[in-house]
Amino acid sequence: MANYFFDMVDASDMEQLQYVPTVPEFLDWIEKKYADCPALSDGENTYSYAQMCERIARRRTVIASLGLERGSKIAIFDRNSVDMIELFLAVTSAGMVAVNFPAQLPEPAVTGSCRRFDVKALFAGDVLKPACAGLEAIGVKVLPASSIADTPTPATPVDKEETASIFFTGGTTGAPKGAVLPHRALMRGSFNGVFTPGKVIKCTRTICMLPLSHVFGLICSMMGSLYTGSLLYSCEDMKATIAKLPVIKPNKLVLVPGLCDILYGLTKLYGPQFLGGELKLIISGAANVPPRLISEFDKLGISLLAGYGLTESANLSSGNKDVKTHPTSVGKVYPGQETKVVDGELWLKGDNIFTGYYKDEQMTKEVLTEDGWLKTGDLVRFDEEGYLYIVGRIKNLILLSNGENISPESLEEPFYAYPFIKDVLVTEDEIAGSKCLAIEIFPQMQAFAQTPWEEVEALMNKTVEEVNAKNPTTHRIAKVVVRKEDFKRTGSLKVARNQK
Amino acid sequence: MTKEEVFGRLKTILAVVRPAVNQDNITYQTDLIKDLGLDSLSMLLMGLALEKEFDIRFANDVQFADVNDVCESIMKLIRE
Repeated sequence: MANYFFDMVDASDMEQLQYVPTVPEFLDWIEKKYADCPALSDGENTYSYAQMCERIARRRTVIASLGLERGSKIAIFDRNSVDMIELFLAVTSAGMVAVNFPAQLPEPAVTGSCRRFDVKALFAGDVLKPACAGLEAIGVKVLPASSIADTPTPATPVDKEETASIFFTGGTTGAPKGAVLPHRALMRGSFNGVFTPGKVIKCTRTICMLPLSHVFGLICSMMGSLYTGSLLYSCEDMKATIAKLPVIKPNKLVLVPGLCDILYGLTKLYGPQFLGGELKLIISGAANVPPRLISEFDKLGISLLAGYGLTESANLSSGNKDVKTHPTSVGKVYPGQETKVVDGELWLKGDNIFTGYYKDEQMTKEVLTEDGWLKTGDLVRFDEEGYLYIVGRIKNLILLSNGENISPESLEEPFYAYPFIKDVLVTEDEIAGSKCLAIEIFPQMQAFAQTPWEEVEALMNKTVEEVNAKNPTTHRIAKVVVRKEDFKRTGSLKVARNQK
Repeated sequence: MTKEEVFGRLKTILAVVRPAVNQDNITYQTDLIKDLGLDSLSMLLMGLALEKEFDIRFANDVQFADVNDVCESIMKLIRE
């Protein structure tokens, strides 16, 4: 499986890339390798790798002036600015622990999160300062995110097992937690981000559109960009940045499927040139990437590749470059990622795995074994070629009348092969007092604009019969509702399991 | 430009943002969240498309409750 990824990348580029286990070593490596290449831009100012590293060193001086103990938690609370990117690298190369706060956190949550994670100092973007009003009272020093000194401070060497960052996560079972990533995990996830087809070094122009408080944004988008000498545009205002796509002309983007839908909608209104004309690659994940979306972008000449991972596995555990032949797979696991399937559940092991949830030993023990296996909570299958498929989540299981547990996602998956279906949701229901499986289907409405609704319903019912015919009788879906309106969705635009 | 023209062009954009909704059912009183189910990303798409369509710029903190709000806001910006 290692060859799947190493062979994907241009051979001469792959020879130059190496896994670097800590942020200070990483900064040293990219500064030497990419010195004069453009690294960061906010659209007005562009900084080379050498300039960026020098600025990071001057930010370390600001951090040093705080007089904090090694390993102290420093929060970064900003939109996806150049400041935030540089601050994350400064904090993690200063022997401190970075905690990136989501930009939409209201004041009580900012205060609560600082308490929860024992934050000692917080860098705030100007527009977010009002949400920091309660911090002085709890002894957290607040500084502007723009803080930068006149002189540099060298990086603090760290051991790869030291904590680099704590990430907010819903965890594998739901309630928000702080996932602790050591340097080795952060950097392994980042190294996995270099594996895209073809040339990867010094040839990418991309935008940091996903929030840096999430591993997909921080590790795949930001760190993956810096690892390959790419030019990364900041994105403080999503609307303004999307409007500037024709000017920025990115050739690669890292997006959740919901954002892919937005961009696709814009091409329908204004033509494919709205994306800038040079976009060739989108990396997507964090939610199901529907084959429909892969196909729609393929028609525009853009490869939409899917991947899988968790915050607890430093984002990237698997990647799929073969979306045309395996559109519902999340690909093959990255080099060094050990896997095993225990009662259908995927377990992961490797240097990308976190060390636990911050100050939550009980939850940590529930997902991390003593010998370092992460129980993902995801139900999976591997096919004979080693492609991984996510078939469900353990906590979403439906208990059938014969005592069998089944994941609704495994019942939903076959429906995504039909291009006229946008989304489905399988739930338990009742008919005349007896339990049954029910499905709500939301069709691709633009495909049926001229079709009488009765015919749409008839087609969906026929589709359910076709899928039922391939399943055991205990898995058959008895009740069908065809929706005219979209489902309620979660914050990451997945169909909400609870539609009430 | 009349408000009716703005309304018509808004409905064309909503047909892309919310293809599931029948344009004929959209009125000035249509609630963006309760009736159209717009979330933050679809509001973003709507906002972007409207800015381009009418060559206007909404304030960053602008919020709309219903279709009438959107039309009135567009009319105001066009007049400025």
